[in-house]
Amino acid sequence: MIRTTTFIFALFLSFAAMAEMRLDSPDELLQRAAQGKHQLRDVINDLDQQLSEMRDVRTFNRYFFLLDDLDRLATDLGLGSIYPDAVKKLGSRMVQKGVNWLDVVETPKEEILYYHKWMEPPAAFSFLYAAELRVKEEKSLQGLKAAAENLEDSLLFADKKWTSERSLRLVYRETLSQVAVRALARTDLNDDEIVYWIGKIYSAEAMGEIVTSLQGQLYQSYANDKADLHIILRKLVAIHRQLSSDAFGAPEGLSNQVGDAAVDLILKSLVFEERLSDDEFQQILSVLRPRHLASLGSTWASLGKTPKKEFAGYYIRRAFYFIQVLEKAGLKTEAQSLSTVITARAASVLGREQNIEGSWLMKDSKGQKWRLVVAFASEDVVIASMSDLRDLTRRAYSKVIYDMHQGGYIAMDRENDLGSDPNLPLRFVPQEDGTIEVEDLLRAPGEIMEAKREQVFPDLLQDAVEPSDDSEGTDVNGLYKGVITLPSGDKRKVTLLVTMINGGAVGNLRFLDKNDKPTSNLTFNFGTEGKNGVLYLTRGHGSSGSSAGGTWMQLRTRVEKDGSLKGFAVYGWYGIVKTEFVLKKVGAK
Amino acid sequence: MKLSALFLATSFSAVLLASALVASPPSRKCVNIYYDQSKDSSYWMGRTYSIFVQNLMGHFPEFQQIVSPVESYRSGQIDQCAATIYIGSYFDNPLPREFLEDFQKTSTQVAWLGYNIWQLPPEAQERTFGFRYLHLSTLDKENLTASGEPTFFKDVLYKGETFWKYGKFSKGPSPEFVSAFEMSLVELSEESFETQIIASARHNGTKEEAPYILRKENRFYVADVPFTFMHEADRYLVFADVLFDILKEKPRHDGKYAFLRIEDIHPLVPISYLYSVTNTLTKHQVPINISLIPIFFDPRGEFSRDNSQEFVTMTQVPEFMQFIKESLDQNANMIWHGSTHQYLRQKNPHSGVSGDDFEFWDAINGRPLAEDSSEFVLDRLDAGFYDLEKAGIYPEIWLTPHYQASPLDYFIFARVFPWNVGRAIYFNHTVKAPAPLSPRALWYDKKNANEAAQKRRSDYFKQFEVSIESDKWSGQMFPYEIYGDVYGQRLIPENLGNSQPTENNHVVQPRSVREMIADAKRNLVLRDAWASFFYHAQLLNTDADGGRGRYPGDPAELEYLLVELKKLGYQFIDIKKFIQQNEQTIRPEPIYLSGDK
Repeated sequence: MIRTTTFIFALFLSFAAMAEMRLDSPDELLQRAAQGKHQLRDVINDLDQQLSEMRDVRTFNRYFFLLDDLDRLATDLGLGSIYPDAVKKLGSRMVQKGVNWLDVVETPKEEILYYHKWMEPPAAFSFLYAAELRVKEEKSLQGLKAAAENLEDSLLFADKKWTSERSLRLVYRETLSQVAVRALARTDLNDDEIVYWIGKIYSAEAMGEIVTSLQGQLYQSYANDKADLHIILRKLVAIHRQLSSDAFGAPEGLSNQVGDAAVDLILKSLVFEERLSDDEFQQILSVLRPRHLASLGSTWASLGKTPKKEFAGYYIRRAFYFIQVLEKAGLKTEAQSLSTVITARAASVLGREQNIEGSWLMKDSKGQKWRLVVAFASEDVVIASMSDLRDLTRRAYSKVIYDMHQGGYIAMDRENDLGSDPNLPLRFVPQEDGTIEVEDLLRAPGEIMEAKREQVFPDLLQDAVEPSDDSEGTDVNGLYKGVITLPSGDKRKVTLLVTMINGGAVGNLRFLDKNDKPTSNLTFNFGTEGKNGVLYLTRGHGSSGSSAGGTWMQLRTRVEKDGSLKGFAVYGWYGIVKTEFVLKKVGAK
Repeated sequence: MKLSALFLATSFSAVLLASALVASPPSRKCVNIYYDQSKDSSYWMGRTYSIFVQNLMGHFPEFQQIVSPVESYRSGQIDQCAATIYIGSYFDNPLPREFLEDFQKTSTQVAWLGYNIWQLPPEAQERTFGFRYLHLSTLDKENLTASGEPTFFKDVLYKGETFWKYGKFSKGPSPEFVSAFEMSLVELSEESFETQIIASARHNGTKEEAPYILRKENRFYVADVPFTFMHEADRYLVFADVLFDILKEKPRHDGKYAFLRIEDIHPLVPISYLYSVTNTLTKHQVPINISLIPIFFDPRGEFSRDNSQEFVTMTQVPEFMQFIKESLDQNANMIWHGSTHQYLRQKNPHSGVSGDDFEFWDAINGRPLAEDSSEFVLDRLDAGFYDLEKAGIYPEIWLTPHYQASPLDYFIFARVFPWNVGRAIYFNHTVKAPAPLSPRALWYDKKNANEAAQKRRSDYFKQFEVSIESDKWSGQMFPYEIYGDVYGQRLIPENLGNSQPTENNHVVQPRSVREMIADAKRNLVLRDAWASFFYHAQLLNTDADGGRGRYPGDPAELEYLLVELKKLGYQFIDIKKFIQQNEQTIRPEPIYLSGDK
């Protein structure tokens, strides 16, 4: 009984199914349509009437894919004289129905584009809405990729077809971008995939979210995982490339946001001493607009930290490249400002690499002997002094910079209270043989003196230890007492009062007589921080009658565990006094 | 015989006939129609008025029309025809002496319309007509109507009824009073016992009366040209009736014919309204005539319908086909009312919906369609015929959508359909036509439902060359049937209009059923005049929806029309019988003299 019932039921079902759709096969329809424009009109009407009976996508597609042929027939037979745009309108109505069967992940691209050919904006909105829902369910990366490819092709098609439908084209962008955002949220993407997905973001809003996220990552300390920086860089470059494409049409604010992030990234790389490859550096610079270049230039110039030795050379070279970029961009003020800082720092960095610190002896063309003394006054400041050995001329230079255009060093400037006349600058260029070539630029321009090293000064700053996070470092404030050996060999009792002012030490060295009464004193107005176990105090100049002799003097010391200062005196006209001194701390400030 | 030779033969024979007319009377009754051409090359109205007379002459197919400018009159021509009608429309157009002399002497029937009567010397006027011309009437701006309109000799009293001339202020920022106020004022001679005043004009301000149509023996004078501002109660209808007297013709039928068509019926008209109408007609034993639009097209989505019903043919709608079938079973007559009764995908000019818009006329620019051609027209007719044939319907009557088309189109309609219905518009034109084929050879009927007939029509009409002489056109309505207007159309008249309850974008002049009945009553005095009108099924809507019903489907107003017309004595005829009875009747091809064709 059950079997019979089932059989009858099945029979009824199949009969009912056959009875619903009364439409010739596609081939038969085409044959009929080809007979004439009125028959074509009938075929179009038949399709229209039976559209609601197409219950599955296979049946639907069989007829839907006739549209190209029908359109051709409509043109050939002149159907437009009585029923203009007949096939176009039929196509639009068919798409309204068929769009529900489109699966943005599974449906082949060609099929999706064929639907788009006949689509009107309302169906396009339906398609996108369904796509959005479908993508939310999709878990596999492959599926997301298929959806993205389909949506991207559809977007490009939509841009050409619906030039006046701005809001629709924006929705295409949003939908595709959301697929990309979804993919980018995954943690299993490799670099290439990241760049790929960024290339699929067409929405300013979505892109802005990504950039904001990257900015957030930059703000976090990534010192422990510097590899993030390179990934962020690649992302920013990919974003910039995408924003620059014709299809995107990025708003001004977003491009600026990317530039801001790029500036942050570059500065972080400098601060945290993370090297970027030449390609990386050039690419990230290409993201910057003029306002970013200016911002980076001024911020870079104000970076206080001097890079460590192993990073310093890279730092300087990158800076030099960037200064050229600023100059090419017409940002001459910013280039000059950064150049001023960098060339000074470059002097200390490259100077250490090239070992310029010390005293150098040379003879000019007239046979006059000269002594050049070069010393680091701090990590970033290099000073020099040029004296003739007759002790008649002593020229102090409070600044030595690196000449980034021609190479070599230029000793220049002197303290303002010595008069307004500038000091005669010197250029000196280290040679591979360990000598340096010195040119007295104004006194004897073009005359190159070959200087040989006389003394090497110990670079105590290289041994400095940065205080850890949980300590304040050494406190060098206080009164010290001890004996210093002068260049003449005399030993003198001295007290030294060290005071920290605005992050730098200043000192007052007082010479004592046998009875410990002060006889004279010297003020050291430039000093290092002292927290890192090293203290340099430098006195800018002295009168000719003082033991400093018209040029600078420097006390360079290590801070011992007991708080005493142990080190050497360096004289601009003399060089280093080889006898080490110890000044014991006798009182805190 | 080659077609080109046939052309020549046709033209040549017309000239020969013209020559022969001078020598001896034609074998068939003829009427001379003379019009003012004038020396002003831009003057077009004279010819147009002659067309109007020609068209009215279409009710008298026994007459050969011979048409020419009065300036080309040659001595003796008046006597060649049974009747002569001169239309004096150009003020003081110098008339040939021979014409004036022959007009006075002739014993044939002659009629003079309008101007230039003063070119007959006063004594000749008295002798010929029994009156003397005084002067032309003017607009009286002193005596205004209650609504502030100037007055003039507005009313025309005829056979106890009052017809009247148009006179209204135009719309717009600077309204002008537009009217047909001018007419010749004449004074009857004291000895003019033989002069009859057939119709009088009455001043609607002073109530003064003046002769409007006079007759002395074989001579008739109409005080104006009665073709300006024609309307359903116009003095034009008086002239149309007096034509019987001018031509000495008897009425063609005794009964008073009424004819109703249900208008603009396309596949998506609410079926309930259709049944309501036909049930009403059946109840009152009024034949059903359906103005059928076989293809419904609504390209702009203005009609309330499903999305898939943008383009629907009648055979696609089973309920509609059922209605048609049942109507046919009740002996309904189908009138073919355009194929889509609209134009492509654009507004022309209203909505683009079938029934609303023009199909063969550029309503936006007020001229023939840019692509107007025989190919265009036949293409559209073929499209509609395809669906009619599928439905097994072969209408014998064509109704031009909104009555408007180009001369070429009308020439085609005249030859592919046995009959047309309604009004038409007329351009001054010339035509070079191929020799006529047998009447049925080109018809859209069952016999010609094949590709060979399609080709025959296409080849034939390609040979038509219609030149429009002036871009000015004028419409004409007819009180009686016409057995061939200037285009060759045999026309079933429509002279009562339709019920138009409200003024809107489509309707400039509302019209009530009471006005329609009043006109029908007035027309009872006119010989062979019909009471022909149309009615939209949509008027069965309620008033709120633009209809006339108290409830949806209410046919009360239609019933009122039917009942009142019957009370007046009108008989709703079976148009199929009328067509059968007049199957062969058609006027001969007019003859145009002096190069006019």
